[in-house]
Amino acid sequence: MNKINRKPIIGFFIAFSIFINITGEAIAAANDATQEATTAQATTINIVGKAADTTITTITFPESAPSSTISTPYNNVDTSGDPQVLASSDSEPVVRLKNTHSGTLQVWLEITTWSNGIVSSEDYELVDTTTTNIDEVNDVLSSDGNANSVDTAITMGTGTYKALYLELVLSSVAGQTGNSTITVLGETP
Amino acid sequence: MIKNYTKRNKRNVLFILLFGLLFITNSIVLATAVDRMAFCDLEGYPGKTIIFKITLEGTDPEEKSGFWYTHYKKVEGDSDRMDITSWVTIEPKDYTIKEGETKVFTVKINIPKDAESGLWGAISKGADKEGHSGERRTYVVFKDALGDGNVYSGLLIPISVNVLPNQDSWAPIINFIKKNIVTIILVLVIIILLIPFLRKKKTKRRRRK
Repeated sequence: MNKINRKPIIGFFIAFSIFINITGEAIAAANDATQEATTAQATTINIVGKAADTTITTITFPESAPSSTISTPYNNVDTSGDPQVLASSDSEPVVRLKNTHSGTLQVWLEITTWSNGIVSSEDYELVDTTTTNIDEVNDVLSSDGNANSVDTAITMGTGTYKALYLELVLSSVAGQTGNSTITVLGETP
Repeated sequence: MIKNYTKRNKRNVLFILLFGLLFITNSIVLATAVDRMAFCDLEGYPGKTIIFKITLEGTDPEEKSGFWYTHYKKVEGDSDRMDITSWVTIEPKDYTIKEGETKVFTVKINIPKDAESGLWGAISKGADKEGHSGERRTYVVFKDALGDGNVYSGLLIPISVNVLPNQDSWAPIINFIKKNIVTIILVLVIIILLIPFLRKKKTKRRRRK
């Protein structure tokens, strides 16, 4: 019987396996087409003045008697000379919200606990800036002056504005100053 | 001379326009930007940690101070699978950021060893999609404010984890074999063919000796 020379067979298999590994990649690469897509970054909601697009940093409620309702807060841009106005016509918010994000955002409002227990409740109203008949603020932000988060379920399209009205009821504590922070949060609806 | 004057005029107008544009863009975009709006349907095994990065970018010329925290949106009738805030840590927690700066944060999700398999942190898969906000429960949140301000702005980023059944110790080996089946078969064939060849060589050497 003729002896089979295994050397070429082994050589063939080694070459074949290398070929499979290399060409497999090469064929796959030849069939690839490049696609590219870019998403814009998500940005937070801007809290701006009543008329100008200037970012505000503080909202202040003026001094008032214990247990009274304060409905004339003002921001640091428009100052105390131009506070919030509640009226059945020509009402003016304390601040406006502006969505600079590239998509729609659902608005949440969040407050921290009022210090010194000076506030017994805080309410809000979030409406379109064209709505100017707000004479009542009664959506609950905090029912007891303690920290709370509220999903307003109100959405803001790209580049749109909303008007935010705030009102609080002071507690019976007298001669004290209290602080709290308010946060406007956005979420993909 | 007139030509030179017109050119200079045009240059001045262009400069004023560009300078004005700089102010317009600055007054419009003053928010903090983030590179992800959701981390839903992440997968991991009990006892393991999922780690990912999240980046904030400042767009305000003034420095903002902020921080990260977790939030659980409590809904009546929720199971105990919905609040996974205790699984999540964000480092660093506090930050300051201003225009042009980017800050990278590490979010770690430690899946407890005894966590049962299934979805945690949201009531269904795909809660990150638009129109599904009602299905989200656990969030990471960042918020910041200018200077000593008391008005913050931020974003809610939902998180949900699909806990996988305990990993089979053979699974990685089986996966490796499945992925490289052609190469493995070829190597085996080569070895099988080499054995008799090497044996023959040995016998030849012995005979020579």
